[in-house]
Amino acid sequence: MVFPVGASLLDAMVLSVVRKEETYGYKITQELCETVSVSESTLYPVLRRLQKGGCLDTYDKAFQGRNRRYYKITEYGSQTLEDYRTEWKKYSTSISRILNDKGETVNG
Amino acid sequence: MDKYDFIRQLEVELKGLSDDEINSAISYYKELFEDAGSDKAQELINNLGSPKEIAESIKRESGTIIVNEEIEEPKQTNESIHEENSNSNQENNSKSKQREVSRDGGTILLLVIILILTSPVWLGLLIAFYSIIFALVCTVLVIALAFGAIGICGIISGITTIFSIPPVGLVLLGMGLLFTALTLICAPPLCKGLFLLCRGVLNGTIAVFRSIFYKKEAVAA
Repeated sequence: MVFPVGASLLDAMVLSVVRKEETYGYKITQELCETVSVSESTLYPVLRRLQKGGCLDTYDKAFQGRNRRYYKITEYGSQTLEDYRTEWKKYSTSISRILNDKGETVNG
Repeated sequence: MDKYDFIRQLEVELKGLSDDEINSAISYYKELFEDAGSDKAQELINNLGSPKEIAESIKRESGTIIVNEEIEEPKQTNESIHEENSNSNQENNSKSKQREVSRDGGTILLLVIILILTSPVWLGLLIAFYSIIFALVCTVLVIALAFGAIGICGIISGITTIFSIPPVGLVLLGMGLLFTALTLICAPPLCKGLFLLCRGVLNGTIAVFRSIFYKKEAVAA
């Protein structure tokens, strides 16, 4: 991908994925790496940051004789995600306006 | 490099972080390998990049938190330095004194609480002790007063009877004068003695309380 994915965008995407369903590290990684070209190693710091910031909660669930750490979104995390979504809408529309402006409708 | 090498190297690279931070990261990556399965492990290792880079990104992430804290702390100290600079030395002294007082205040508060809690024991004893002293003082005073009264009564009755029955009157007058003289002789030192006794008892109790607080202060300092 040409455009770099910044920290806040990663936060927003991870929050969105976890919001959809409570899930575990590997699955979040797979889901995000399918769509955006981020290194799988960038996810851990993001998860840790969100966890420390109170956006995500973790709990362990037994799976095939071992523990799997599940992530779930907190109330604060949901609010943060909503803020990110509004911000992203504003950001993406303004970027799109410039990028899609081919000069055909320029007035003056 | 297999997944075990990877984890081992990562553990080495993470050194310097807190145990909690290291354990969290290691268990995350272990889990990632377990979820990837053995057939995808190598692919995962290739995608992840070097353990050194991963460790650096983790350190950077936890490092930003540490740096933020470090920035905040000097700000506070700078402010306090400014305050101290702007204030006169006297105020600084009073500041440090206030700090000491407040620190002692904590122990004093604690002592007061202890004293209140143990009050059923020591308050009872103290009240008993004071009652005994009070009774003693009263008894002595009453005896002295009685002596004085006997003396005055003796003088008055002596004077009244001296003309009707002269010998009885003289004896009564003599007795009255004797008792009055004894009272007058004994009264000043007696009063002084009782006064000193009361003062001593009060000072004693104050000294006991003070010793409790001072001792604790010394411990605290």
